[in-house]
Amino acid sequence: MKSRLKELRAREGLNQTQLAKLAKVSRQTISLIEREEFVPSLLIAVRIARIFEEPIENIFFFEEDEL
Amino acid sequence: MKIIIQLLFGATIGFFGVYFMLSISSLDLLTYADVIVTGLLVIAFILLGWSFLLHRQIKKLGSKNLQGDEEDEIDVLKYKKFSDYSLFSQSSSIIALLALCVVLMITKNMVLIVVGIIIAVISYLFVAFMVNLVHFVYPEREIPSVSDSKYAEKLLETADDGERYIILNGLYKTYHLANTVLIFAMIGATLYSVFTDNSQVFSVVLMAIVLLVLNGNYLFAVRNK
Repeated sequence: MKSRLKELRAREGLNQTQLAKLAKVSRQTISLIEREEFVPSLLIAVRIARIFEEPIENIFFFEEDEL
Repeated sequence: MKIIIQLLFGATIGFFGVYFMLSISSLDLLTYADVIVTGLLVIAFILLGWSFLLHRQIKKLGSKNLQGDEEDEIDVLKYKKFSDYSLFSQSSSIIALLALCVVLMITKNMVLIVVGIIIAVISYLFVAFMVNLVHFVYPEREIPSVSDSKYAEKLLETADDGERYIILNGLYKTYHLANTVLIFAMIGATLYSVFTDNSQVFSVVLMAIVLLVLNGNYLFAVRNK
């Protein structure tokens, strides 16, 4: 799964620690998602989408063969 | 080609393993026991000193008030140093315990026993301090009390999805490693018994019980879900 997390963080001027606090997760979780090593739960994805005021599908993408 | 390399590698390890067994059979452990124990205690003491330095560095890093990417970099550093602190303090307590066991079994040297007990107690205190350090590194977390009977379960509950994913990966690899290492340890102890005439039956049985408990516990936990 790919994500625009890093790009959106830069847009909002947030570091990983700040985004983690807003999303009520650890910085490690944000780092894992950005490095595409971990697919977040729906709950975390919704929280992140709310922070950036974007629909989930505009933040997280799946390759066709992953679906 | 890969198979040939693996065979050569296995043969080399096997050769040195048997050579080590034969050398150890002619080695008088009684003569060197105090030296071995002193060496182990020195290693444990160095690890303790290293843990102390890491403890101070983590506290220093925690008091820094940074912004932007620097805040993330400091958090990464704090996390790595905390992991190193855990590894060093736990290794120190295990090595100190090993030294104590060896000295009690072989020479019963009172000075080494007292030094061993002191280093072991300090090491366990350092392991206990880890909880305080977690409070310091993650002040926003509600870490359960160590005296809580369900401490391990509650501690896992405080971890989020990403952290649990990291823990699961680490534990699963450790579980497989423990299985392999214990089987090799049983083979090693059996070979030692054969080459040295020092019966290791008790330790082989103990290792087999540990393996059975380990696998039984894991499989019951998985089966009952």
